[in-house]
Amino acid sequence: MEDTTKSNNVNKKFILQEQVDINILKEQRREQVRLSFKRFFGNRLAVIGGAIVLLVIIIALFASVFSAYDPYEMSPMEARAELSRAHPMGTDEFGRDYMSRVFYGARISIQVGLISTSVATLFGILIGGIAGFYGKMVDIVLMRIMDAVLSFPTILLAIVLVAILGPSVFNAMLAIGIIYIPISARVVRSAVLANKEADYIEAARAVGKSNFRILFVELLPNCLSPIIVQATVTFADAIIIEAGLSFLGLSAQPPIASWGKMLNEAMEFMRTTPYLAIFPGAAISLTVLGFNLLGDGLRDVLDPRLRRGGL
Amino acid sequence: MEEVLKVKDLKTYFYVEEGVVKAVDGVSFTLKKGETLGIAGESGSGKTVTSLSILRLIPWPPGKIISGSVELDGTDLLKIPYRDMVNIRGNEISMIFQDPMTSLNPVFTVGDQIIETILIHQKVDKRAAKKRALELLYEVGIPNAEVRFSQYPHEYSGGMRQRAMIAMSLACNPKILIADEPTTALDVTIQAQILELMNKMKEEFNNSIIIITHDLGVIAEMVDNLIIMYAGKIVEYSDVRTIFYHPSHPYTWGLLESIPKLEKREKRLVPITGNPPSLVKIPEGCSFNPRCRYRKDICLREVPPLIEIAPGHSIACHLTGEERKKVRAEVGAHA
Amino acid sequence: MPENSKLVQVKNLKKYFQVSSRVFGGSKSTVYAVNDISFDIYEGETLGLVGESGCGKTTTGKLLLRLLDVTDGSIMFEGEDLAAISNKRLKELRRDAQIIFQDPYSSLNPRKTVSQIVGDPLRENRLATSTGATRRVLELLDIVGLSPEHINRFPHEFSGGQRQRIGIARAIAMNPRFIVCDEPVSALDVSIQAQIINLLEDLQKEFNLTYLFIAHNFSVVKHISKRIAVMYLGKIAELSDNETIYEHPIHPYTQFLLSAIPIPDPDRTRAKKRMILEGEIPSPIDLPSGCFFHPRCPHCQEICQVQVPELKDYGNGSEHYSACHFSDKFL
Repeated sequence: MEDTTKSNNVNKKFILQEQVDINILKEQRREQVRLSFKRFFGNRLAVIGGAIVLLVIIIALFASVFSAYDPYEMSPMEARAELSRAHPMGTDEFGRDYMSRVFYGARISIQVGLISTSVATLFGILIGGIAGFYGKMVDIVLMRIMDAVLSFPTILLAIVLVAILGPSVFNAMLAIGIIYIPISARVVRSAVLANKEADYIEAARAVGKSNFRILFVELLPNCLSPIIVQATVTFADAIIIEAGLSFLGLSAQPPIASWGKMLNEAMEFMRTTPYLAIFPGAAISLTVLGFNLLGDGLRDVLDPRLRRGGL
Repeated sequence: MEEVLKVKDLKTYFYVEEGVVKAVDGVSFTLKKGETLGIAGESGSGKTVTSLSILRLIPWPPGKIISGSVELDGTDLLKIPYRDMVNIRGNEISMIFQDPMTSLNPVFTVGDQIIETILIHQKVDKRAAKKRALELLYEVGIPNAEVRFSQYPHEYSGGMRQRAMIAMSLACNPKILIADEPTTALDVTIQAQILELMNKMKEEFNNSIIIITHDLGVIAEMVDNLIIMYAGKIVEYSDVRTIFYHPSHPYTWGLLESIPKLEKREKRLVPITGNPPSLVKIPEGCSFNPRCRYRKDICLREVPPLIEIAPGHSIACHLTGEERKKVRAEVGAHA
Repeated sequence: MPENSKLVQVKNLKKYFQVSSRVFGGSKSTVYAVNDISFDIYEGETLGLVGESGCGKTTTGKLLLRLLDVTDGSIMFEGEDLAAISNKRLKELRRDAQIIFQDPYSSLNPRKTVSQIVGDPLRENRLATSTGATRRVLELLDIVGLSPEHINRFPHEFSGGQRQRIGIARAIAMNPRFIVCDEPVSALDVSIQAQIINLLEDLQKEFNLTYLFIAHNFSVVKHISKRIAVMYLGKIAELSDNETIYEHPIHPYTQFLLSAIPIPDPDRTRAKKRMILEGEIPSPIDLPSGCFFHPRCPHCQEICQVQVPELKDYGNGSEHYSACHFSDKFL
């Protein structure tokens, strides 16, 4: 049988096929990006998640527009009123319109989630990535530091950090972020360890890439999946912890309230006016759900392996 | 000789997102007592799925045995209640796999795993089972069986693990031993040991063996009869010498030609062009046609049935006897 | 053979790994992965390297590209000792020496397109502009037998054989002189192996490449290599041209190795007098004394237990090296 592999081409000189225009290839690239978008929007759950997140962010940004009342205006006569047209979410124990407070609370909670998660994830990637990639002493030292931080009870450590930094929402966010660095670092480190020995990493070395570039350009993008998942979990936890800090007076100072704080304060009135707990609780759950779904969708979109090719 | 296993028109399909994967698409063969049958093919040919189907080890979802029969000494295994398969597996039909590290449970000692097999199928007490297990370890050539009995799989080398697997599979004296790529993961000198061991065990236990592999050297070494599979179907089926010395299917020709021969000094290998088909998009007509140098019009349209062209020699191809003779004359018969 | 110049000269190469059972302190054991080997590779030829697990062939391949640091010994390449040069110079020399990996599934970054993977060497070493790199990638794809539309696809969209072609395209991107082929066809289907082997041979002819071809499948190695070195436990047991080593092996290990290979020819293979090598392949940690093969060797004598045999040339005129005290008996 005759061998018809492309061996004939080897005997030609380098003849570039001019008909293959570079532009056509650029178009191909753009098409792939378009396909990625299509895939994202085809994933119903991801779209729902994205919609929820978008909704919450818009509410947070334009809380003043959506709120009919000033969230700080007290009206003791109307304290803990029934749900009505005037107050669709009722009023709290000081007569403040609850719906406005929920809307304004979105600001705090989103910020808390985003900033804490960003701090935790960014530093987690740095520390976990370096520890996992370079190994040996670097790994041992870094991970033992992480273990030390992890060994403290979360709330306790948060309290200590905020006490040091000074009670404010921003410091609460920082503190929570710092506390979650070790968890993030661990996740990143195991993902790095899992992918480190792959041949394509060795190939990158053979081509002359520096360790730095290999770690950040070749390796880490392949570790995104668990990192994203962990980030969504951190987001949820951050909101809850901030609630605890708020309760202790270490985070948002009254009259500013986060959902977590509102939730905590509503515990007292569970028997009589449960909606005081239900609304902020539902807000937290919905937001967390939204970020989770969005995170899952992002993770799927970013994984080229899930893209359908044409071959 | 009596027939031990008779597989008729076996079809196993997998239902996945991309479509239906016809992993095994109408496979029939028989296995006689004391025979070693080889099933050769490349990845995606369906050889492993065939053996898993015999033992009904196909997970649903996504796989399902659609039709066909698998008769063990007259009983159709596909018709008996699923829970009765437990009595068949490890007992009447045993299977050993390619990677002994993952097929032995790492958290149990090797001895315990062998004993477990015995206790499940036979009514003996633990002491008798242990005695038998030690005997088996000794027979398969594991030195220091007493000590090795209480060791864990990771303390064994690759070759030894495979021996332990063979011991486990023979513990209940099965009628059939199915070996799926038993030596592919082993070094060549160890492979030689294991193949020799398998032959020795066959003599002792007088069982039948089905060997599944892509390694034609191992096939030539071990088997009496041979099935060549491609894309879920049998393309050639005969005794081993006929297939190696008088192959009659273009795929078999291609395979035999493309492997480097130790004895001959060749200038250039002759590969089969193209790639094995994606099992979701199997070509129309004869699934080999895109890669076949001798394809005719009919090959694009009709699936060739498996026909006996000589006693005990079947192929699935549209080429006529005349056309085959011509090809052999051109290319030079393979031998 | 000796007419061509020597492209690579390996002398007394050693690579030892330290493995400790505990993190701090604890007993340290040494893995003698590569244990004093010397050989030359001539320009334009293919030197085959065969052996079983633990023999050190893959480690040798990586050492030659300094993907691993050398414990001792020298690797002369283009007049410089790769074992001793600076990182900067190493990066420059890396353009001339590349590697093809075994596993087509893990040797390509799943998140990068073909264009990025194959063009990487060019961009990293600033050998081309962005458009220039794309043009070169198209050229390379054509050379290895892939179509231009493949350029923006991801690795998972290709079959094993095609991925290996991508890996080859990457390896030749910078026009190297020397390529280490680390089991390049072992993970491929039989019918595809021949395609890739032919491709490698064609590329060698066209671009005057020199290969170190590492594999455990002796038939493949014999086909593609001019000379073959058989490794065992970190050392070279025998080295000669491919026909001689197959027809007249003079080291007992080689004899066992060749005897164990099942030939795809039923009559021949069953008629062959099979020499079964007993015992396990020892680990490179607990090395036997004297000749590394003596515990399993049926010809073992007292001297074998004590003295390490040197790699001596037993060929008259042509090279035929063997590391055995009694090789002359097998001539």
